[in-house]
Amino acid sequence: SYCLFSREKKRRRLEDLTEKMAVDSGHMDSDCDWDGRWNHVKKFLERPGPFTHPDFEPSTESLQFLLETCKILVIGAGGLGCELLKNLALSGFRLIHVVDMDTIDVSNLNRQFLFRPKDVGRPKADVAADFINSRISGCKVVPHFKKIQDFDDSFYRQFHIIVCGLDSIIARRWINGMLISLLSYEDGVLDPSSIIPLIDGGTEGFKGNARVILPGMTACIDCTLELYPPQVINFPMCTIATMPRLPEHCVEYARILQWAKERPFGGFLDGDNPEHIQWVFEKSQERAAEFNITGVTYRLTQAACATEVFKIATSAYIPLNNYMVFNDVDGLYTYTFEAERKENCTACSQVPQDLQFPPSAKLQEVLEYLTETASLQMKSPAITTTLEGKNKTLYLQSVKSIEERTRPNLCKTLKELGLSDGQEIAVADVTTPQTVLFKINFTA
Amino acid sequence: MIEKEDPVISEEEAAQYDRQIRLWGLDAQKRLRGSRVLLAGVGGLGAELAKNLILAGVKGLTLLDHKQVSEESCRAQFLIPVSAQGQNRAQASLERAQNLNPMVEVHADSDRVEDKPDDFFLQFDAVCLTGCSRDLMVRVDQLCSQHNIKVFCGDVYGYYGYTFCNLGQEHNYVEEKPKVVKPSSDSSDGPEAKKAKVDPNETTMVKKTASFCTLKAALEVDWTSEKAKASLKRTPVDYFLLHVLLKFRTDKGRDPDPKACAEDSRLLKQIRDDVLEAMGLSGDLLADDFISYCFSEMSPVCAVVGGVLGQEVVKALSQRDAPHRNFFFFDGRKGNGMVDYFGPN
Repeated sequence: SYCLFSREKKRRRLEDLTEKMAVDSGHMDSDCDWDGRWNHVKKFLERPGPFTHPDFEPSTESLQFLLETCKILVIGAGGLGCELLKNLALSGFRLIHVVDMDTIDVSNLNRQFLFRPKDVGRPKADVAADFINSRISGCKVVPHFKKIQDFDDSFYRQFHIIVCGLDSIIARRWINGMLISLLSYEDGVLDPSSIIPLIDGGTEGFKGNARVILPGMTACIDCTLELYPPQVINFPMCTIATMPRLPEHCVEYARILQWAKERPFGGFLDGDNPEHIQWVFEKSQERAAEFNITGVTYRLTQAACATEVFKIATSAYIPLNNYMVFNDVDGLYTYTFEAERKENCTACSQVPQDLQFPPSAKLQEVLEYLTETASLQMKSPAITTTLEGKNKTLYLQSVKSIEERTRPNLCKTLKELGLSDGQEIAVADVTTPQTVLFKINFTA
Repeated sequence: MIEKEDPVISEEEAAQYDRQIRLWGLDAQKRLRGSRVLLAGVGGLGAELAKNLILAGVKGLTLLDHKQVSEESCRAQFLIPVSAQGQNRAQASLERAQNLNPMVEVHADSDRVEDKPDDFFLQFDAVCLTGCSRDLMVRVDQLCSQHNIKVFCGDVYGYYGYTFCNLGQEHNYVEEKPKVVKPSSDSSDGPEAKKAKVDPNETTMVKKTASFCTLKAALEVDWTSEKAKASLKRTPVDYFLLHVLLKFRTDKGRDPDPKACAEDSRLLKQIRDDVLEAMGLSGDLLADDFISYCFSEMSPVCAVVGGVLGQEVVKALSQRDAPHRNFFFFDGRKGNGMVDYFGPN
């Protein structure tokens, strides 16, 4: 009955949308859609597959649907976002939503061309939408000055395609997880109409890549997590100066901006001097407290002080997937390839993950496994489990009082904590909107 | 080429160009800051290139286009307002182009490229030709390269696009390479110490030179020789597609038009047969299906080709990083890009 309901919901949604289809075709006159202009799209729509809705008749109306009813979500209104909005609007898409939590900084103006100097300080989503709406007639961009995490599934369900121009792996994993959570299965078979394609792009310096993800069908972000290079602690100055989100941002603020301004010990920061590091650590903590960010540790501060390189945060794959690669002296080429789905992917495989630990292992070791394993790369996992029928938090970092209360558990062994062989633990983290289940198997 | 004074980067520029200065350095930015560029043709591709060069912060960009704004022009590019129908394309694009970066001198010129005297081109450091006929491109390329002016050509036809550049017979540039730390000669250290190591934090600038041929030479490759025939397998068919589309443009004085789809499709097929036959090659080399995908300028394809072309101009003017030598072909249907060299060895 759930399946019928969800299909009916989809059918009704489609009817709704078709009814609202604008009578005024504006600049989308039929004489601009010459024979063959949308052949590629037609082929796509006429082929039976995940995008052929049961109530959908392939015809010229499919085209109208695509151009006048298709709702696209653009995540990020920065470098990629501006380009994406421009390309989509020029290609004829009219119903576009854009989400971005940032405001405009002067250093954005060299590439985020929808913004002018007078816009500095204003939300990117708002300014981008204004620009497109007032210059491309018929196009309706709806801005959202929000974090992607501020929306729930009901928001994301309304879109036919989601395109990302994000600047963090965490955010990518989150939206990836969200779209996977929207998938519905009937007797173990994936319902194709529940798939929302995710088109993800990233750039770093002169390099960039783009990929298409069909959640539940093709490789997802987590399937290929190992392709991302380790996230070095270096972030854009605009984020550090005005909109910190991570403990690393706070440390960089203290290390770079405050140090330069206050020069507490006269000269340059010495990464080997404990007094210097202590100063940076304390300033970082103050900044973190101001923005309600947890996770600033002495160890993190020390690591940041030791590195001298200041690179831009990485959002691109290492060598693969539409990536410019040197091919001998004579050529550079881009190539496309299909990433393979990972069999036991934590995000999209629906298979509970098995962990092996001796009963004498401390909870700290489990925590380290979750954060340091390349295929998981969690940021600050919260671990809960069910003991004696009751839900118990083993460790949680993001709420100060709970962190203090559960911190002693880190030094306790799994046996001491009351876990048994085959025990399931639920792990929540910023990298995923849903908790991930793990099964702990005791080794000898 | 006019003698340049050493440009100074103001505080305002340093703040705005921060992200790119981190990428290519202050010296490169200064060179851009002193460069004047000519852009002929402000269609879909031209608009993208204009955006990229203006944002990059060149000294001046001249938009040269004699055509009038049509209904299609407004939809092909984002610099022309919908209300500008009937105006000259360059003039109509001026305001929004200038707004992208007030620090760049943007000019609009409504003359025909063909009517410009030779010395008009000599005031520029780089000349970019889009939407131009083969003969015109060959003539301008010849003239400019004789005067050390960098030449770029590019077009977008539906899903397909290309760029070409001629940076002269001796184009000097630098590449930033990681420093190789020489091993210590102290024999008391183990074998590990004897290996040359790469220090990731230290880089050094390596001087290089690249040589380019004229557009004429690049287009007039002889395919009848045995050597050429042998290399055919490795040759991107895009090269031959370019010949077909340039011939269409020469014969019809315009590019394939959606409104004349049936007639233009027939003509494209005919030209494909003629061009390949004249080169002594089989008509099978370029299959029929390209025909339905080469009409109009597709916005995302313009963005990709305009992006690559923009970066080539930046590299050439700043004399930093290896240039693409000498063609870049983009196939939007496959999502493939290819750099390849055509011309005498």
